[in-house]
Amino acid sequence: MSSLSVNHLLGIKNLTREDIELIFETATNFKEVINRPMKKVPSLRDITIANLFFENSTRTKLSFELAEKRLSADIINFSSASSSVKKGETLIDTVNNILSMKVDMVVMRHPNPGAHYFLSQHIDASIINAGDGTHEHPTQALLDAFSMREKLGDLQGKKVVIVGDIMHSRVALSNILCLQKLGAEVMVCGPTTLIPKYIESLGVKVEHNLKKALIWCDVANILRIQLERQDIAYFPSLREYTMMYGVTMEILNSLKKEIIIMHPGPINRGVEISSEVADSKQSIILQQVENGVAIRMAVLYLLAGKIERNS
Amino acid sequence: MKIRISKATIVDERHPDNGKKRDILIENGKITKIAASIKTEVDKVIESEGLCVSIGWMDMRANFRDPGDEQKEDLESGLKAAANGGFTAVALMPSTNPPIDNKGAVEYLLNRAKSGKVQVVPIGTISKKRAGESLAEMYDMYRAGAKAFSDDKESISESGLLHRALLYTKNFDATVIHFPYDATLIPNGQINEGVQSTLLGLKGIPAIAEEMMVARDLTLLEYTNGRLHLGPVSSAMSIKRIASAKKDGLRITCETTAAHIAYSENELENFDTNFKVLPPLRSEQNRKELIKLLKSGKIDVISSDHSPEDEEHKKLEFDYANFGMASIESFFPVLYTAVGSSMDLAKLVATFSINPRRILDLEIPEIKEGVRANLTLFSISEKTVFEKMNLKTKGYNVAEIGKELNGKVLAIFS
Repeated sequence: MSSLSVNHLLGIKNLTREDIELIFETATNFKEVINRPMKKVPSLRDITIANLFFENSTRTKLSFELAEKRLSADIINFSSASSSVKKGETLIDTVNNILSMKVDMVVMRHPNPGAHYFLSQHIDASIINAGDGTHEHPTQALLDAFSMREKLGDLQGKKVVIVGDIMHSRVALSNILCLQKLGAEVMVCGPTTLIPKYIESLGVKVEHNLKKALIWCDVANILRIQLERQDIAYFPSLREYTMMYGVTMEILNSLKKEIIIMHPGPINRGVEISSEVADSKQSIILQQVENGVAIRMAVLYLLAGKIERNS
Repeated sequence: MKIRISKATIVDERHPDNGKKRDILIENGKITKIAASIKTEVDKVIESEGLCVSIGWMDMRANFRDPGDEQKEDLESGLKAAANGGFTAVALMPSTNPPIDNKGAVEYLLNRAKSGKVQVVPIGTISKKRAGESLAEMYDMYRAGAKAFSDDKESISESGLLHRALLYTKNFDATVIHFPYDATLIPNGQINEGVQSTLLGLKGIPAIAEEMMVARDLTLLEYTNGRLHLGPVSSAMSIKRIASAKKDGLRITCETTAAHIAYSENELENFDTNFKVLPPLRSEQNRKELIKLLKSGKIDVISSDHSPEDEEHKKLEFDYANFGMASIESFFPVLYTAVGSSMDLAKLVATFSINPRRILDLEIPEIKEGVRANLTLFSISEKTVFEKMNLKTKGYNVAEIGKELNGKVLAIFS
């Protein structure tokens, strides 16, 4: 059986197209498994996984936990809204303390970009990035691309626009990298103050007019406005943001074609997306959530296969 | 003790024998003879492939963390590291804890370094406590031996303070050293704003944060007609503006670091905190432009900006790690590997031997018979492999450990 080219999932940047295809293939199998009456498989029995969340999370944490349980792994959970550094203990010490309890894999969310790279150089366990600050969120990008592929088939030449706060979004960067590896064209759309100046150097298009962006695309992935990650005000009010970038049924109906609507959640109804759009038949938001579990099972399973067992 | 330096190429643009191979005889620390060939019996011969000799090098910007953070570096380890890097003089930035902002602090540095091989040149602060509010007693420090004044990496945001500093130092004709950086443009910036900041999700510091400050500083300089040295600068555009102001007759000089000549933002690809420096490493294109500007003589000084840190301040998540590299020992090989033989060697060496001394009004040594030897011996053919055990710095943050670079420092005389 083929295996991944990496020992950690630090970001989409480090994956090859073959890695992504392998994850999708594995996820397809697991998706079938979790739709059976007996949803659990023994694949990760005797593998211990620590879920370390140094930043708030509801859905990603639940999704990982469920994926681990479906694979019969033993799990421990650690959540702390503030980084351990502020409490005087370094990240390496915190994680090494947990690893001393014989943990094989670490799923971590952390507010600092690159925290997983840093950790992978200093500890001895397989690391999965569940979001690192404004850097990457690889499993989200994988499940997004997987969901698009279910709807559209091969993504070669397909057009995807990511709408919203691109500057503070880890989902946007991972999505751009993942979609490009699969041959899709990517555009970002949002207010000028929330688009990084050098984003075009990644080979993406930039559009500040929502309607033009939606006319161009096959899929619109709409991001949440992350007020908690903005240290200063980048736009005057949410009301104005909605006026310019809120996706409504009215705009969608004016497009003369049907595009797919996605959102990584949690959605702010009436802000970046109207309720009508979120609940419409064009929206695959809930399929994304279901696919999230299958994708995470695939990633955990494939990385666990690379762990050298002493026995 | 008699030492013969054998077949060394003289590297000094002022010297009549610049570029020629000479034997140099040193007796009890004095240069007694320079000739094409010296046959005298000696105690020791220094020879090497690609051997070069220049006047002793001077590092215009180093931090020895003493007083205050001696676990990162102290004067003793810092001076040994400087000697290991080929320097016979080093200007110390005042950003210690407490800062060098009074006569007593200047005297502390000079007294502690008195007997060593490496000359310490204290830089005093511009403002009291380096707080950017009111002027420190610069004249008192000047009389005690401080050669220039700087608040180091605390860029002076209050224009009035820099205005007063440029005026006040005219009374005793001293130089103000300023780091041009508007930190308010992008709060909490981590690396250069560019491709890498976009790919890494780290806060980017745009080059204009420096360029805008350079423009302000030049305006103030023209108005006051003071003496200003800007550094470290990282953007090619800044240096072009400074060069043009110099052409217009302003008393302005500028400095960049060996790291900015040798490395670009691409080094940060894997979040290596050793390359987290301020000003940040810029784009590869900018780096190439810096080399061009260096070759055309528009960069007066290249310094190490040696900033040793302990493990506790570097082995951290990127956002939490301190800025700076421990770079005084790798200085020449890093620079020479980047620039190499594409540039006139005497011109290159002048940026870290003659030029800093000229800016700081220090006596400039000469390679001639009858004077005390103040020399650096180095090879441009040999290579240096950096290993922790051979380094004298206490700094944890040496980026070149395990690397092999061109050029090697062989010895200093002072």
